[in-house]
Amino acid sequence: MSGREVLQVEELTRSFGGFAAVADLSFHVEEGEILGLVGPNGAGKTTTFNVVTGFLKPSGGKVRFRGEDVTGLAPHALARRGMVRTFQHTRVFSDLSVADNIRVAGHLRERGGIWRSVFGSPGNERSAVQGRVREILERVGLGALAGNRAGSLAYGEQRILEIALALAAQPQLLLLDEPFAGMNESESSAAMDLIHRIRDDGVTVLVIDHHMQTMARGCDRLVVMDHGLKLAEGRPADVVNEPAVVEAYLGAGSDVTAPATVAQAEAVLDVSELDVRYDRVRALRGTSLTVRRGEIVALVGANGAGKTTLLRAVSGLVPVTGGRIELLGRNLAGVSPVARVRGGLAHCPEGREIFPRMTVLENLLLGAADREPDASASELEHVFRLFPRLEERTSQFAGSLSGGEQQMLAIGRAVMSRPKLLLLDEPTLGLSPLLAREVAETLVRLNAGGLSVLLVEQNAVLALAIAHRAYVIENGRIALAGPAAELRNDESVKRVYLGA
Amino acid sequence: MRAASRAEGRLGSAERGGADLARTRLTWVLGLAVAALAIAAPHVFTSIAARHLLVLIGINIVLVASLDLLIGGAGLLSLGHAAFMGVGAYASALLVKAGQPFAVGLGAGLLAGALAGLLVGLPALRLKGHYFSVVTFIVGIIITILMTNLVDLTRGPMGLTGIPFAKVDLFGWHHTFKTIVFKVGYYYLVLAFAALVLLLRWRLGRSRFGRALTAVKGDENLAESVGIATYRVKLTAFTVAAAIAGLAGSLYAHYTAFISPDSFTFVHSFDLFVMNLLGGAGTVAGPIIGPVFLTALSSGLKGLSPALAHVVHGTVLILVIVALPTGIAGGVKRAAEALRGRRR
Repeated sequence: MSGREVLQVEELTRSFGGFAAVADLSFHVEEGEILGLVGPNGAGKTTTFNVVTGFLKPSGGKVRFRGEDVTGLAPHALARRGMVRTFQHTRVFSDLSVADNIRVAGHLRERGGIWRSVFGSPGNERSAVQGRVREILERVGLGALAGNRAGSLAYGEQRILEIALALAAQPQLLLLDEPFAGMNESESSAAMDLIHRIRDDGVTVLVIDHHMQTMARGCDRLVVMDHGLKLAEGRPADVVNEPAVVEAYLGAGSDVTAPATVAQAEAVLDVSELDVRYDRVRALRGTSLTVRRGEIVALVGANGAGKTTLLRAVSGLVPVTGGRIELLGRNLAGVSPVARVRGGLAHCPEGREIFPRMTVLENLLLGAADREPDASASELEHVFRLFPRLEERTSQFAGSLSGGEQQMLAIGRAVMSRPKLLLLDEPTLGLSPLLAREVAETLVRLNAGGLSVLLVEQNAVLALAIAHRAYVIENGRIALAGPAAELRNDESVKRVYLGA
Repeated sequence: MRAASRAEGRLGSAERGGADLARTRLTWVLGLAVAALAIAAPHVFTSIAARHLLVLIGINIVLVASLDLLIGGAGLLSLGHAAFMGVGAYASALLVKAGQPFAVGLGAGLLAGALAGLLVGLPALRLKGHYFSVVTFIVGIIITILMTNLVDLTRGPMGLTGIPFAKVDLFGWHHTFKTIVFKVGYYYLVLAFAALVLLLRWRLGRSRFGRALTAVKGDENLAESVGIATYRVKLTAFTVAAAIAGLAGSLYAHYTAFISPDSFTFVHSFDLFVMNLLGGAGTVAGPIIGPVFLTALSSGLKGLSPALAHVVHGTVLILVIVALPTGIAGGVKRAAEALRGRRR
């Protein structure tokens, strides 16, 4: 490594409203290295990426590329200087052929504006471009698919095409945004090999991903972020063992009181051999789990393992391709999401989906839309007992609540329908440790009142502290199951998150 | 099905080259046939009314081909194209009435259209999607309101009358296109421009600039990230399209010899939009098929009572768009591909 710094990020800050998604972040990328920027969901990685590549303006700080201050330049201007990025959600020109995708992306390699386009001679320009298209496609291994429509490619191939598109712009620094998302283990190690080949051809690479295993294996150096801050920086082997990194990935909060254990009761939810596929990705492969009456069951696993998909399948929001779901002994095949709610299910999705332009009270009443007006009065009382803070704010717009309060409102609304089973997706995401603990304690209280809970949670330590039983899911399969107290001390849980 | 399409991608280059050659030959044959038909048309349809329609179709082809640079090329749904035509028409008519030659009028129409396009595009193209379309729609209305109210310049709703016929003075050949009765000469003039603009559209589509437009249409963020200055590319396309619309306005003014704000309202903009979608946005043949089809449809319905004609007109449009979402040209292309696939 020559030690020359290709990219320098200096005290970068980006706020949304009052919330700093990235705060005072500094790091650099050295020529010829593969630097990984890692961190759990919501850590501020993609925001950092978007600011560095010109898709967002920074609130403060500087970005230098090869010594030049490029802060706030438009993406195309950065691409012209040799800094090219890919996107988290696959972006290719899906209506064009694979070869035409590369041709379009070779814009910078060609010359001429509109005059030359009309009056210039197309002949030799065309053959030069064609040769280059072939060369790039051979290099990434898509040569055989040149004539296919990009949209018809398999998911993994589209992700490779995306990298090829970026290569066509001839970058000196290639920035990859979650290139391994949705890939299985062999696909992501093949993608990592490709990234190494690209580096060997002289391109410096900055890659972000939350998938610690692949990143630790493939990157020369890692920068770990959480809550917009840099937690650690250094060689992968050192970084994954730093306590701050372990806590960021597994979460804190093991001191929450665990609920009393429950006797063997009948199953509220019984999922067996569930299969779900999105287009070309198999999100769930023969997944089975059970939630018994009075239990909190935690479902933990790395990002993209299939946790949210499982919840969505149970509440009927994604079609199931195989297997069986039973709620209170009733087969849910063909039952609409609304009928499932009437049957005793409540789903509290990730990201605190509340209606920001409605008041707290209106939001809560929506949760009881099915009920008689006087019946909902007693539900309201119940919710306010659980969340006294919501009672103080009944006429306030939900959008003006703090993050923690919004989460309470979302849970409160779910509880308004008096469910038998509550599906909770990432309730502590983006909350401070204090608020996260408060949410956890509320769950324990709700559970003590007889509610069964299926909890999906990134903060594994917190989830395992309050759950009776837990399942660890990996690549759409249940990798491990058992009493939460046992899994709390199981090394393999750490492996799933950190690959250590 | 997926396996079949994969196999196609893996075809040997020799075989693919053969298919390309056959397709090129077919394109030439079809192109020459269309050109022959276009040249013969005024001698097949000899009535004044029919020849009048032929001239209007020609002018609409110029307009739709330029609009297609935006809609089919860059995915910019502009809903105010007729206003730029109007700007060109007024500029040309006023100058030629003041004694300038027809060629100067044509050039002025082109420049006035370009200038108007640039001025509208600068702010409007900062907006995306529906917002852009709504702004072009409103700007189109504002431009016709200006035409109505700048009475000193445009004579307002009374319009400009007595616009001189086109006089051409070319290497000692003089001709005045007296279009009221003798339509054939002017038809060929319009046809020449239509051919020129179609050629331009085709060349642009296959150039670096055209690929940049395709990228903008496909995914603007991705286009930016590979180094395409999307705003500038869109502004260039918008200005060029408006310039050609201005030229079409000039051709129109010296044909009808009378223009008023009513000729360039959003109704005409919307017609052009429908012609583009119906013919097939982003295809070479679309800008020809759309104007021909819509003009033939409305004149075919002339025999019906106006109310019924409107209902039938609307129903046919809806049916065509539902059945052929990529337009007539797109539908034909797909059918041909399916046929070829089956034969193999």
